[in-house]
Amino acid sequence: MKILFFANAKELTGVPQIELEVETPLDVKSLWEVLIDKFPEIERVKTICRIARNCEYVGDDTLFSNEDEVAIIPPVSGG
Amino acid sequence: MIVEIKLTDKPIQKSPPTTDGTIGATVEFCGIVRGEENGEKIVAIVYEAYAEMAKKMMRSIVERLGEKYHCHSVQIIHRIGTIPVGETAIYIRAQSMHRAESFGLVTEFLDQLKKDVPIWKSRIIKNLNFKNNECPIHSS
Repeated sequence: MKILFFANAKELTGVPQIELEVETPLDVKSLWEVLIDKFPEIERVKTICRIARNCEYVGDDTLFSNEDEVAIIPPVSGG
Repeated sequence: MIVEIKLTDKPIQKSPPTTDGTIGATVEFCGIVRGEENGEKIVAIVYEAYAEMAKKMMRSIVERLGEKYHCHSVQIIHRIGTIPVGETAIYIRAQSMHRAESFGLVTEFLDQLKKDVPIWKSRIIKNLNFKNNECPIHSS
């Protein structure tokens, strides 16, 4: 799966995106575990970020597949 | 309802509003970069977006609000990249038969944009020597 990082999540990982091949389905809790394992600093924003899958916000009960584009969305500030 | 949604890294260019005889109100909103952020003087703000999702969400919000506020057309242009103080970061124009629909749509759209649309003020720039003076803007 492709995982995109924006704003301060991008600064904490140091990259705008990564490609992951993981055992699926992957739930939200496991996704964060994978991310924190790769980028420990991202745990700092875990509680304030939302997750989008294929351009739509998703809830904590979501299961991801390797075909998904997943985005880590920190609090927005457009306008 | 005609809906036009655009993200651009260029200064915002407005197109002429429609005047077809049915429109009684045109409401325009420009969100402009102020020269101060968190009490400090700045010269520019850098915006970033998750472009595909941002455009999709803005369209979806406008279309949903269009069921409540019957507008003839809505145009939204959000600028991304480095935007100097005094320049427009977002331009919204709604046209309707009466003013209440356009004002209502523009106001509610902005409320939802600021809550949900994945666009960020990612950095502030404090002086013209951009590269050495960028500071992140974070709520965390």
